[in-house]
Amino acid sequence: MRKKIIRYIGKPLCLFLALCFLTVDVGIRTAQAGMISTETVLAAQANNEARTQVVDFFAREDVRQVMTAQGVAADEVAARVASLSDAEIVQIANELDQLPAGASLGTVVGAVLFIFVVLLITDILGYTKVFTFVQPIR
Amino acid sequence: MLINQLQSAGGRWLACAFFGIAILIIISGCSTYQYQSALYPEPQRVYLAEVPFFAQEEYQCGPAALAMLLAWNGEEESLAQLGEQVYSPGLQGSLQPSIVAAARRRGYVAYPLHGWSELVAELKGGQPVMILQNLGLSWYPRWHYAVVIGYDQAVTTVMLHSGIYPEMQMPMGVFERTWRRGDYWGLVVVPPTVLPASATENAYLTAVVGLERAQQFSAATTAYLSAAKAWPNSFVAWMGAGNSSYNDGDIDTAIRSFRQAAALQPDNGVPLNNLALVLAQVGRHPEALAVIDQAINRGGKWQGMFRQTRQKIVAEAELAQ
Repeated sequence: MRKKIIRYIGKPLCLFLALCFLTVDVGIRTAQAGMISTETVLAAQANNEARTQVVDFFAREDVRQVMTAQGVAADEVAARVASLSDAEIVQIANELDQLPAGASLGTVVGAVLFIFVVLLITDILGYTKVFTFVQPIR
Repeated sequence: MLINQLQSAGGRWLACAFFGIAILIIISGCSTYQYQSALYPEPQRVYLAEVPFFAQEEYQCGPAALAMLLAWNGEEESLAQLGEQVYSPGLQGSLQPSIVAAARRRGYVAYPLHGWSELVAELKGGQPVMILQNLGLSWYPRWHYAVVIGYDQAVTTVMLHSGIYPEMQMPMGVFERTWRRGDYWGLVVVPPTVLPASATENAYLTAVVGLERAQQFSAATTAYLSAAKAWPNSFVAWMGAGNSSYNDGDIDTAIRSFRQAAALQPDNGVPLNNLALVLAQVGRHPEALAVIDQAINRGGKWQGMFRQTRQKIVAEAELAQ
């Protein structure tokens, strides 16, 4: 009896469920096509500016020297900066904003060390691989 | 004997007084004020005499301060109605975001500012500034909103409409300390046609995005166009003008603004995506398809979305036929 029922409704049920999943998929796709909001555009621009700021910071000669003295190739770190998320980049850029204009080497070293810490954390999380001595947790 | 005792007692008082004064001098010498460097090159005195005053009811300094800024812009609003939208009874006070939101709901740009130089710039530009003070101590806060209507370097005072006191004169040092404990937070409320004197491009656009979020599309369009006038190369300002005017039903302005944005960033397809959707909306499908193809050619991280937009327009064009 039960087998009969399953045989009877099995095919239409499968078809119905397959159709259901198809509509779910279509739903998500149509949600993607639409106006791109001003908020998104503004956030993208702010992120770009922050990224440029951080990259420019690492391009500075005195910063390069500090990095080299710490045994890290500046080019390598700049490459890793590219792999940081927008939120992390904004965090570093905010930190850089705190630097007074024409900051002494001491403050620059402080900022570089801060970025070290950020990169260290992302290394531990396995997002980046700047420091060879860090074993990622996953 | 008696005289001797009195004399020695007097001496003790004198020593105490001397010691006390010395401590006061040391303490006052220790405190540094941000306003000194900010104010020296500015005019000696600014005073906006015509800012209307509303006396607050208990705990209602937020609504009262906002009412004054709105009234300055010619918007008469009952305190009771503002209080409903701004005041949180559980907190016995008003939070900054709810004040900002209440101004936006009336179609005004609420522009937050920070610190002395921006405060002075706004006063010079003729705008009263709402500020947040902590009249108590950091560990025993007494939060208070007041409206700064001027200052006078000669007698080192700040003029405030505060609580139940119109044109209260507060010594600059006291103002500085209480405002510092409020993290130097200030707010100007301006109509969308007016740019705050201290406005910077990104901060102003962020404020206008809030106006757009509050569904005040007509006001947001005007504000974005004001921004585009001040910063003609502002990509975000033109994008915002396009998006808000589209939501407001002003198709011509939308098309014109997206075209401007597209011209400003020739390798960015985002304005073309939105332009194509607007064109499709008014039935200009062939044009829309040409524009979205251009966007897909420009590429970038939104390319997947551009393709979805194209599919949508193709489907709509088929439906229309």
